[in-house]
Amino acid sequence: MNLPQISFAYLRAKPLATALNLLLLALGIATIAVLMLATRQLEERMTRDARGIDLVAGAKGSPMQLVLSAVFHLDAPTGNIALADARELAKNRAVKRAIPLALGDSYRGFRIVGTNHDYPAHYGARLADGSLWAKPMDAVFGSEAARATRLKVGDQFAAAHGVGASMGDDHDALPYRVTGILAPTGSVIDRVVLTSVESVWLVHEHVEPGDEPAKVLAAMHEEQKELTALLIQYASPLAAALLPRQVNAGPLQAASPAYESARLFRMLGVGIEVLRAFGFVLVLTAGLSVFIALTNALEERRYDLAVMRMLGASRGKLMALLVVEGLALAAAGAVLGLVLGHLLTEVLGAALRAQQQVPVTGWAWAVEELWLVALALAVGVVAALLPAWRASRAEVAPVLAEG
Amino acid sequence: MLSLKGVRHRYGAQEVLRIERFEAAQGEKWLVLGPSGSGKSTLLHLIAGLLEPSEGTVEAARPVGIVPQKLHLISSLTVAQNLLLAQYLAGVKQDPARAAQVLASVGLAERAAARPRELSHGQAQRAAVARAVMNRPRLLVADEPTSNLDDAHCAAALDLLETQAAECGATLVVATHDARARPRFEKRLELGA
Repeated sequence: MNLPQISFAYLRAKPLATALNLLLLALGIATIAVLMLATRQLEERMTRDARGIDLVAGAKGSPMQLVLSAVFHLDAPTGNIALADARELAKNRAVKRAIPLALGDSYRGFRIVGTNHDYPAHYGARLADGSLWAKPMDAVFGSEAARATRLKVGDQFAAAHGVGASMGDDHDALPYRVTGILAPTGSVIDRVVLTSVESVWLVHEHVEPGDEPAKVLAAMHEEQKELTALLIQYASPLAAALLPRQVNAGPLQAASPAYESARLFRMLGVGIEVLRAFGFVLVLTAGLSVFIALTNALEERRYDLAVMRMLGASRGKLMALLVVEGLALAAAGAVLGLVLGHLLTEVLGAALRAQQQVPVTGWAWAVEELWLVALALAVGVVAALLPAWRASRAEVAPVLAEG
Repeated sequence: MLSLKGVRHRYGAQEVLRIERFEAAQGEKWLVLGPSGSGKSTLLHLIAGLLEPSEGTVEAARPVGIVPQKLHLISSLTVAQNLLLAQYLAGVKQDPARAAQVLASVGLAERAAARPRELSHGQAQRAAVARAVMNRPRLLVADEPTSNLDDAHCAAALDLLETQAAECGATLVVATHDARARPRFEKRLELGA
């Protein structure tokens, strides 16, 4: 026998009360853990996806929508911009690099991004199979898109017009051909299909089967050639002060990924903080419940505690017995809560992945979870301290003499 | 060995026990008789060290084994665990073999894994005696061990206490108001109301 064994025996003897206290504590810890894991992963992912992109230039509209659509591929684009405007901006001395993006189509929910080879290079993407696109209608799949669609190099597919819920008819007349599959990068590029900008222009022309892509492109008027956005890297720190103003003064809109991401998290932050506070309330309620359970147990166990003193237990040992009980409940609640939190995060992640949204996984761990364990243990100890102190002060003889 | 000199014990202003001198040699069997409220339980608690006397001195050989009136086995533990608990709380090295031996000696070898609620009153009393002798006490005290027992069980309970005290070489002090115990004890201490 030892203190933990005796404590566990008491907890086992009250299965319903023990289970309810555990559940309460676990739900609180799980709520906080889900928020911690999801927000942390979202922030990390958004930071990674936006790294190295100082400015996004696109059609006028909501700057947050522009960033969400062009950088994170989450929202619908604000519109298209003329190729000539984009070229003029790209030649600006304040621009070190401008990556063109042409959006509008998708394949089985994965966006088709018309761009150049700078885009995969920006995310450090490497080929797992095949090669990058060399001519119009060549397509390269990000790792997640390839895994989900099960397409491989050499396969053909028809793009659907639109993205996500707004998907329209397939562009059957001009199928894409898979030329490469990218290795996982842990960034947004894993969830898209890359091709040349010309491919996107082509599929939106009236092309008949057998038409030569080069001839169709040559026949296109310059005004027909549009982009959706430019991902811009500044040439110097000074550009940050000048370029957005210059862009916004013209036909285009400039949006800062860093600013818009921060704004998005500030907006989400209120809801997240409310949920987090709810989690803390649950944990504190669990602490109160443990306190009430142990206090009630004192009355039920007064004879047991007196007998233990009779058998030689010191006051300190009796105090330790109740504290260990509170700790055991807290530790079990913390472990259960973290397991539950990770499972819920994985379920949430699976739902997001099914919609090709930002991936979140329950199989990631955060150092902050140790603080959650510490919080739970502290709640357990604090809840047990007063009952434990009262147990240690109880007189033995009067209780035994009650008979 | 047990010695009380000039012992007074009071709860508030009320004196509940007064013993000028009492001595019991090692291995002796003593019966403490007296009606309810005469201070029998208080005397046992003073002997066991659970109470400090208001006045006087109590010297008792240690360890002391106690069989409380209500037995008070820990219900969440098995019978064997109750015995090991006595060793753990007394700071004695836990010895499952000793627990098995003691349980066999009180006829509970087959009930080691039982919970107290699964025992009959007679079995629970034997388990409480087994717990009291687990640490080989030099002094064994029992509070009203025959209350609510018929004659046969009364005799069995006293037999058990005497046998176990003898095996440990312990002084036995039984407190009761049950007159049926009187003939079995040559040494008696009578407490007034």
